[in-house]
Amino acid sequence: MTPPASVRRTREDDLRLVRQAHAGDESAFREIVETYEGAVAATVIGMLGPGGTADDVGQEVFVRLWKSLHKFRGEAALKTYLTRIAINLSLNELKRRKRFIDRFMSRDRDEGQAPLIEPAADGVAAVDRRDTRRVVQAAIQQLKAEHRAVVVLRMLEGHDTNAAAEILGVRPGTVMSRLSRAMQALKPLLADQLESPDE
Amino acid sequence: MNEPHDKALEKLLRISRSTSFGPGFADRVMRRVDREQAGPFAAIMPTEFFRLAVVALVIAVALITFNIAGKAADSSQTTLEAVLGLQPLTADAVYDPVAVFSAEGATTS
Repeated sequence: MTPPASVRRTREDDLRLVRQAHAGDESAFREIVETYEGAVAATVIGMLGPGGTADDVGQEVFVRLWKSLHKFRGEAALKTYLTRIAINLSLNELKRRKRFIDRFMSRDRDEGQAPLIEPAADGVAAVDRRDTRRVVQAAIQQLKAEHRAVVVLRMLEGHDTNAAAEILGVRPGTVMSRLSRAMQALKPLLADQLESPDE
Repeated sequence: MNEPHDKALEKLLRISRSTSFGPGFADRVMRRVDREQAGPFAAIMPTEFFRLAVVALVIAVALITFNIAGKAADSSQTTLEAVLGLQPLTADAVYDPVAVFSAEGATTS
């Protein structure tokens, strides 16, 4: 059960749970999973789209946390720590997909002129336009990985520019420029939804 | 980012945010953790099964090839016996301890 939004977790609460989990308390670790599933889901599904792969990567995020419980000292918030793992694993998965596509599906693609928007297998037009969430997710999936990561961290997860820069290991200016380009790329893809936002 | 269009886009992105992997996610994570605790072999089996199966298949084919190659020298074997690496065996030989344990008897006598 995910705690209600009104329950604010402090860094001390998280550190206590991590210490209990490290001592072998499975219920403490389960509480961490239930508390931060939402944040990890927003990141991983935002990066990879919904589906079995996102679920696998989401599980792997928490397994990585479990393996590194002894290293967690609480310098960063647990949510930030998990988001960093989620972003890195998602980027690894996207690289793996890209390698697969490059190897088996698009040998003649010009690597030097990679577009800002990567062609999707089924474009936004093919998606049921009544389902706004699916349309938006499909549009995000067409962004390049580094732009997608910025949109997920800044717009979906609500991290500020500095936090997003720290998670991604880039400068704040890079985050801002990538976000600007990503938002410009999303506008035409979501033009219908922007003109009729109540649908 | 201050244009009305940008605000609408931000809102659109916010409402598309997924907040769950679906029912039972915590249970799936805990099972994964249990497998990790059980040891490396149990942890890799579900994800690495396909690779292990391919390796096992290659080994099986190699053994079958080896057995079939041996059949050429001993033509009394059927193909199935050769594939499975079965040695010729008769009922008399089964009930003849000297024949069955001939190798052991040879070493102990």
